[in-house]
Amino acid sequence: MNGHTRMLPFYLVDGIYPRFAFLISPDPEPSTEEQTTFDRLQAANRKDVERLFGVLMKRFHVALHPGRYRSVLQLVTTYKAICILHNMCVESRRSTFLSRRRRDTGGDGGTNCCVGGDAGVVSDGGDGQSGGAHAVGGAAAGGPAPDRAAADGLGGVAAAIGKIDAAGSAPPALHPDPHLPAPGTAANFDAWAETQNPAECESLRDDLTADIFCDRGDLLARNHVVHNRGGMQRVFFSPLGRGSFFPTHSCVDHVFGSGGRLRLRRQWRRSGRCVGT
Amino acid sequence: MQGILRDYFGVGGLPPIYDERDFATQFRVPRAVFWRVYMAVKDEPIFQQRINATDKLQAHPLQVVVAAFRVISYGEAADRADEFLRLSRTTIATSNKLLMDFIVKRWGPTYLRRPNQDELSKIMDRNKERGMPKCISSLDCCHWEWHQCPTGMSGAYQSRKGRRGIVVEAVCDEDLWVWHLFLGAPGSLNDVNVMHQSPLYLEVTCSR
Repeated sequence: MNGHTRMLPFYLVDGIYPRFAFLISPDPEPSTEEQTTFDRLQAANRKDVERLFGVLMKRFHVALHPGRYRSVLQLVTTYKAICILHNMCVESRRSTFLSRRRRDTGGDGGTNCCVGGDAGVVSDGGDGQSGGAHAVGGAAAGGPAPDRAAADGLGGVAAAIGKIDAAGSAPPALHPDPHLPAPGTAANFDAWAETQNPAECESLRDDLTADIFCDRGDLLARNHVVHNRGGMQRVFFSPLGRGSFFPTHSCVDHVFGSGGRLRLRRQWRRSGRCVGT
Repeated sequence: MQGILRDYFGVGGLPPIYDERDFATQFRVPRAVFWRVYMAVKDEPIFQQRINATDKLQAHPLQVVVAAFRVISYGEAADRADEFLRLSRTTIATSNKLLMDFIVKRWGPTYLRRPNQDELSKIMDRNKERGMPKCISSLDCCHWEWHQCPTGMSGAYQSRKGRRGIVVEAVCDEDLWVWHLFLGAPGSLNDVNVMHQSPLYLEVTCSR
């Protein structure tokens, strides 16, 4: 990237984390346009995990309310179980329309289409046909399953679980062996000295900044909301929340319909924000 | 028991009262996932229906699973679902605990594992399209309050906001698939301290 070779994968974090080379935090004081662009993109991508906590809390209200358990161990077990159920839901939702469309637009972006029983989990009874078709597509797109099975024996287990789920009524067999962790995950990271080097982190961030600035149009486009009304094109950074979001009339129309426009105008008049309308 | 069957699964050829959408709303999981959990549970000896000393039938596995799902999906107290499920609060609390243990034991190795090389490269490809090449995922912490924290431990578990709880550290990708979960750190620690004791950090720094 940008003339340098970067071998180190990294996680996106927020500003509190230390400057380690495997953590990328936003620039604390963005001054140039490049840095601002980078910060926006970083925030836009990092909000995945914030969304996760929100979704978990809304899905299982145990996570929302204070835990009523006696021991820390029980708290831990419950939260883990919640996350497992959540992952199952994610998996079963992947065979629905929306995710398929998203996958189409994002290339073969299905990151974990080879996990567990993705092939077999069918969301509804009537959706079986499409689920099966999706499974075939997933296997084709996401690396051929038999290869993996030959490689480390994981795929076979996954496929077996998938089949059981598809059958539905068959009693699920216990796992012969759990999924092995990635053999190469640890090897991807470099030694202690490099991972904790602040200078490395800075340079990595600079690299990324420069790299992102080159094709910022494409990258930020998916986070833009573009309204084309009345011959004028207005662009908002809507999901990013940087700066305040001033709704103009055309965009209010878009969101609320014409009734919303009147309502907002009234509100604006009260707040003195939009004089003369 | 009859009520559960009638409401959610249909009895005697009648369609269930709540359809798929209501089911997913009330149990917070799709029917397929619920069914999968139930199918795994119903043959376990610990969840089997028993007959007690007075010749009365004890809770059916379906009742048990529904009770546990009610507790985790609504976060309600264990005796809340009594009038619907006809189970005592002890039974509901115990069954919830048993089911949580069972899920973690049974599916923990499958669903909370680290990504293998294949998946990792796919995540990276996907993030490359979003402008972050070589990016694995995003990492963050949140606090989960603990209602029944013992007073003796409240010093360690009190967060900076004055509430007692534990810290949850998670890594997830764009699909909200949880790739890494570390929890149990006392609430007085901040995100950095939690990261320093999480297996993720240890793996990265001591990998050689």
